[in-house]
Amino acid sequence: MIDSRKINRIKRKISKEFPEFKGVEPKITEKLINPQDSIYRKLSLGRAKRIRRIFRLKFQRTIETVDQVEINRILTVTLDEKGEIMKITESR
Amino acid sequence: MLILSGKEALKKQIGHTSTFEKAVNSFIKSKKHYKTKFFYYDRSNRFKVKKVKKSAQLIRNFILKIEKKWGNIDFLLLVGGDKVVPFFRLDNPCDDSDKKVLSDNPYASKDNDFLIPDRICARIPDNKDANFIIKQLKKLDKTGKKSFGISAKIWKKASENVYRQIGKPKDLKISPPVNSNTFKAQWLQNKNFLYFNLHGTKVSANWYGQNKGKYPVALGPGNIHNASGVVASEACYGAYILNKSHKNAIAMKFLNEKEIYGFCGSTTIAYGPVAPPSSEADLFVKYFLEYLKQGMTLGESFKNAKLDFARKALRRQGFLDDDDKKTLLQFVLYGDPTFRLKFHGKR
Repeated sequence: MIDSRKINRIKRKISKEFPEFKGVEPKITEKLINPQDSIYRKLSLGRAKRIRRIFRLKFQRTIETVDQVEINRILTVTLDEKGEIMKITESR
Repeated sequence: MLILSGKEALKKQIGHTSTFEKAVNSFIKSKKHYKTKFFYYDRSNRFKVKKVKKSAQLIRNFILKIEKKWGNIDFLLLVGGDKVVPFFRLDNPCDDSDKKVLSDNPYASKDNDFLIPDRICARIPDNKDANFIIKQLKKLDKTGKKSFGISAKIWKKASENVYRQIGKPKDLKISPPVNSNTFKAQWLQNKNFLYFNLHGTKVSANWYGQNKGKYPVALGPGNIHNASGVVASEACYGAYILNKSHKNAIAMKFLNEKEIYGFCGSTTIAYGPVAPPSSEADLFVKYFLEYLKQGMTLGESFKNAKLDFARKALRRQGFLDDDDKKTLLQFVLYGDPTFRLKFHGKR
């Protein structure tokens, strides 16, 4: 699993840059991604790469719009196997 | 091009199908550059492919059998909403509240890898109205020269990176301050591209902006009058049309407009970056708009955008992650896939 110091660092970053997720405890998952041979083949992109390991921190909360509609907001931080941030995405 | 619908199911939605069939025949005659045939999957056909019941998997098999007899089908146009030609309900690659992803991708694939399309596939929803469908088949390009775009404030930078394909980033509207009360219908008029990066939901007809925990209504069906152009929306559920009509779904409201030529959006929760570089929905829509601007048809732009999106993600990361897979599955195209914007100005 990923280093807890790295997780805490990311949680601080998210709290600072995305205040609406402040205090939200992320769901942490680890995923092994097998080489996606068929996709590479279909796109004529040569050979798929090795098995990759990624981590995802999913921050989730429900917000209410001005007209009282509830929306499930999701912010996901994807980390590579070294624990470096690959990308941060948000639900639209 | 294969145009496909289900007679019994369509009749239940629009009543008599004779005017629709006449319109399809005129449409086929007008498409001189395309070898086009129209079939009902639940009626016998000249290829003697056995008719099937209303099931996404059976209809897909029907298409594959027609293809075996007729030859390569490059363009596929499904006519009718979910109750006529059902969306596929695919497993959701992401861990979110969507139990399944509504998708037309399997109709576009010749093998069992549904992520990457082999053919162009678009859909004309029925809106329970024959005239709505006929209107889509008769649309002629009268688009303007300019583009319109609006983004939730929180994604301003990310949206500018998409919008620069079709307009000046400084012209992008931002919500807030823009809300449905200050939104001007003329912003959507005489345009060629309409771009939206707003929040959406399954239960509301509106799309929302965002800033500092505030979510104003940015756009509702009531804001749309005499709009023109091709719509590309990143909103969650922007293309969700199950049990919806032009009265309570922005996608259907747009399509009901005389000069809206196509709608590209997501059937489920969509994802995008908070800032450039573009990824997920931002990247897909960016490619879609790029190809349209190059003069490709709606269908070609849509398919090429999916291929380029997958290539880019693979080159960048070495794999498609869950968000990328969902993006590929969830985006659908509504409208005539052979429609091509004519540019009045410089490309």
